Amino acid sequence: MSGLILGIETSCDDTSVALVDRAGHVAAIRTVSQFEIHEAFGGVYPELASRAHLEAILPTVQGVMEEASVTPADLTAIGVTRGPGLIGSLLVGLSTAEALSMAWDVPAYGVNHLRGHIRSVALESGRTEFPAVIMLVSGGHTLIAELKDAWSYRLLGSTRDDSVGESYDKVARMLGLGMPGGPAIDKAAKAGQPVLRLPRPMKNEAYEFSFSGLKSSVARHIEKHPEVSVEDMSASFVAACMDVLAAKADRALDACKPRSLVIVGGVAASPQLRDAMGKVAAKHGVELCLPPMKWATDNAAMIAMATWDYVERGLQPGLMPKPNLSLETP
Amino acid sequence: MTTGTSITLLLQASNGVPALALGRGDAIIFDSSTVEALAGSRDYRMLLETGLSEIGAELNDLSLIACDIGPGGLGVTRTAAAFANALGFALSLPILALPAFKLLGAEVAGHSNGSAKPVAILRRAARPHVHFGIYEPDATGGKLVHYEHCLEKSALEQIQNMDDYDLAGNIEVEGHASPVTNMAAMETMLKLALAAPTPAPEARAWPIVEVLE
Ligand SMILES: [Zn+2]
Repeated sequence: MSGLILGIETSCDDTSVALVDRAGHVAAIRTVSQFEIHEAFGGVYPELASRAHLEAILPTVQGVMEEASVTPADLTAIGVTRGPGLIGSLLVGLSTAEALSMAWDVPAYGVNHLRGHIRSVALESGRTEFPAVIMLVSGGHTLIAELKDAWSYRLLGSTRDDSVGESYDKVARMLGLGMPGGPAIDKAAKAGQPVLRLPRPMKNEAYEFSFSGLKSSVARHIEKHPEVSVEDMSASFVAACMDVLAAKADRALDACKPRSLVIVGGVAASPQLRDAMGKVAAKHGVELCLPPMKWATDNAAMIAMATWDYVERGLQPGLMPKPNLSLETP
Repeated sequence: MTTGTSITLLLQASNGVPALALGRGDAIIFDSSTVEALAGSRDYRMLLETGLSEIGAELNDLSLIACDIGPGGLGVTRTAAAFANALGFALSLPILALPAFKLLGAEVAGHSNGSAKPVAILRRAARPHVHFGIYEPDATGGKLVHYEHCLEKSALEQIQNMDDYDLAGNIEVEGHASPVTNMAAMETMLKLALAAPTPAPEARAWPIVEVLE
């Protein structure tokens, strides 16, 4: 199959458009961040996110098409995130894709964003040895799944409340470290010691995660001991998160006996997470697969990459938004 | 434009129900809101494909796209604007953005046969807020002279100070007849679209945003 897929991603607060070929080569990608818009609100403000997507999306489509010297006739398909995500944001990408598909006479596929994260590993000649266990850890998601191959997934567990990335952001705010919280906490943690006792929520229970309790105990500790060292608190919080994530990965590698452990999502940028997962993988003798950071956060290249799977299977989910779409539904 | 059959595409959404119409000249020749099987569908592509095939036209026959930009239903207004904008982008057509309250004002003023009463327009926003507008009819049609996103209480106080008015939108006012309507007829929209100045080549629809402090 030749040609390019135009990927469109608007599930949360970044407007991203990319052109990707079957081999995973990214011909062009542009991502417009809404970080500054939402910073003032301390989180993503759905109405503004939707409006910002609307303003950014067509110039972004035009930008990647021009950059790669591509015309609609060069497109095999358009792939657009249909969920999970914020409804108002999803609708902008989906409606845009719908109109472009109609006017350009190119088929459009509604793609599962989570499948995009998983397929991000295959961008730019990345490889995964299957079967694999994958952990997706980001501001929007925390889940662990077994991949039988590039298409068949089994969800092992996901978070019952906050994602890891969300709790990083919230704790960063409590500690006055600013946004984005992940890198700020990682940096502070390196300068501190994990000396404070924090809970390891659900560590001993199969594959489900829960991080809101951990975040609350950090809040309680800061309230009781306002003099606490920011560095030590950061280090203790990170240690608690890593402890839980590593325990789940360890359990999954034991049970699934995969050939590789794949870590994707924005939190994969954390040196502490890379270190912790490296140890777990080494213990089980499986390959640790960490895609380049530029594909770890939400982006349209991963959506285009995932779209190829749908195209090849002739599976064309419609363009209806599915805010709560689960991993196991294509 | 290569064809003489220039068609105007009209999209409405902010009252919560997506509707799509096609006009040829100054006549509406397709209106999804009058087709029972289509009313309530959120699929603008299907509505447009159905309309075009019903009137025997093609996408390339479109010469103008007009889109209702609210204020109103968040999801559906964004859907209409995103669809209209992308269609305009792909077909190199500008988008004429029409505020919903201008449409509603013109609709109600048109009904009242020159009674020249102002139209008070109230639409539900996130409680306790509303969208509030006043439309003044005049010899040439009329204009929207006031719009704000405010507390319901404040809008009602302002309405109490108006002598006589027609009411539009989706909120009842105690002691006044029910709102005349919450949706302008596609004929009204087409009339406003044809009377509006030609939009700039890359004009797009930007929905009116409701942001709570
Ligand atoms: Zn994501």
